[in-house]
Amino acid sequence: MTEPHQHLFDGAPRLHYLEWNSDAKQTLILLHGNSANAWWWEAVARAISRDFRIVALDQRGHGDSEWVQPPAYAPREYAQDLARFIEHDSQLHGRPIIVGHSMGGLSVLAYAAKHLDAARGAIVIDSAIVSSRGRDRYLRRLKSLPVVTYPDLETAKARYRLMPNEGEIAPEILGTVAEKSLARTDEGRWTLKFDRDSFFGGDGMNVVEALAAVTIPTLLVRAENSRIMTVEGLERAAIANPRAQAVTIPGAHHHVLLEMPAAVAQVIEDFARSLE
Amino acid sequence: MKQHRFKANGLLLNCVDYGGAGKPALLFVHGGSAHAHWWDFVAPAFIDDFHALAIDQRGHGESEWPADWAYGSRHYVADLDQVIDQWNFGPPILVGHSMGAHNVLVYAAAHADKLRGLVAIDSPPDYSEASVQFLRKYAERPGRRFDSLDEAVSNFKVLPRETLASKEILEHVARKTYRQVDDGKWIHKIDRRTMIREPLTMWESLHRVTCPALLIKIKKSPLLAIDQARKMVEAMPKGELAEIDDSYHHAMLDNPRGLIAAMKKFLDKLK
Repeated sequence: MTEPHQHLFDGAPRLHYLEWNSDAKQTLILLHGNSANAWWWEAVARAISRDFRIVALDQRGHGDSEWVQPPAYAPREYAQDLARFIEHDSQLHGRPIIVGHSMGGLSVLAYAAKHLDAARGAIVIDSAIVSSRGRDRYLRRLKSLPVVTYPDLETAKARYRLMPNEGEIAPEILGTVAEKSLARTDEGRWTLKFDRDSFFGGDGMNVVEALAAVTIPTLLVRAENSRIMTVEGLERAAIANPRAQAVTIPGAHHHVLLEMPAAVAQVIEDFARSLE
Repeated sequence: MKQHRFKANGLLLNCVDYGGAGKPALLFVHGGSAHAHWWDFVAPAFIDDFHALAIDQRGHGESEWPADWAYGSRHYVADLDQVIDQWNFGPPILVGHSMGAHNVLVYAAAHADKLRGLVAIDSPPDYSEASVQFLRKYAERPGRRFDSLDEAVSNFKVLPRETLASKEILEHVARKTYRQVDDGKWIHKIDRRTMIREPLTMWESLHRVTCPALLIKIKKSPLLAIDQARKMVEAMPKGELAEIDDSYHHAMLDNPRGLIAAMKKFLDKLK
């Protein structure tokens, strides 16, 4: 048996997900960020206590979940998938704790703002609460990049880069993520496994408004050296939702799931236990 | 602390001796980008029952560098073999962490008859081609240069980044990590070419690790999954598993007491 278990969740779109510790009572549902996939949580999941059942979804258009035509990749649409999953997941005992990184954090907030009591708590890791002109320019530039394909898997792996490309990540962890993030195209070349139409669909959501509507216990996790969840964003969050807690992971960059997985695991676990 | 110098494959290798001469040898083997003194808070706890030693592997710490790249597990293992063959400390118990654990396991798969036992700490059974590629990118970057040892020490970091180690322990290890070069600047002692490794998989060879073998899984470390660890232990004829808590990957820095306790339980049988 190799961990984790892989499952398909039927429906439109059909979702692929990973599951660890299937017998544990309290479920944590993890949502990855833009152009990532469920495997980005593998290192975090390994470092979380076996007292928790962990489910990491490939969000629509990502990893091994179905793509959506015409493109429908706004946070509320990812949140619909999460709602469908929570409603039908037969392994769920009680309410789950939902956790999102980057764009996945926006999915979590969009869900929690609409389904007020359906989750026990929400964790948002280094998501953009407010944007800036510089960030908007950066996103526009990324969106306009052509789809790159590589002739073979080795080249594709060697060229694999994170966006933003910052922080030092253990090669064992980055290696796994690269392997799980590449797929063969119809032409037999290799490319990243996500629908380019999903690129930054979360951009434009009013995150502050969503935060204000959330009533469940919420934790905002900032990576200290990231420019995505800014101190200014946290201030706006505190005004919108004074009940939300905030914690900073020192020395971390945006891809903190890969860079400091055990520290992220600790933050998630501590918060989950505080809700027991 | 006493030091030994061993010549192995033409290279002078430094070995720290913590005491306990005459007792069964217990040789600590550090991980990638580390050095013998990473064990300073663990090794001395064993000198009542063992002759505790820690080696600087080639390219690390105070040991020499090969002229051309030679930093696969096979090269470190060839060094261990020559050191153990020439010393008069008898068949040792090897203790390896991370890359050091890979080296210890590869050595044991070839020479289990020369060992009294081994301890492997938080080491996954594979080191993939992709991992090699990403580590190579770090190797290609020039090492940082610092104006003073204090500046270097205050910038000391471990990889993976997380640590629960006390300031004192980190500073102790950091002070032994850098050296001053001709222009007065301070640099890491490591040969950066050690970050160019070779892919490795151990599933095929673990059944040949026939000596008593303890695998230590660190609960909070993501590098070795618990069911991988169980499978590795099953594959080794005399394999045992221990888990320790309150630590990330670098257990000898994060939780030396927990590591010592887990090792003692196993080593008591090999005194």
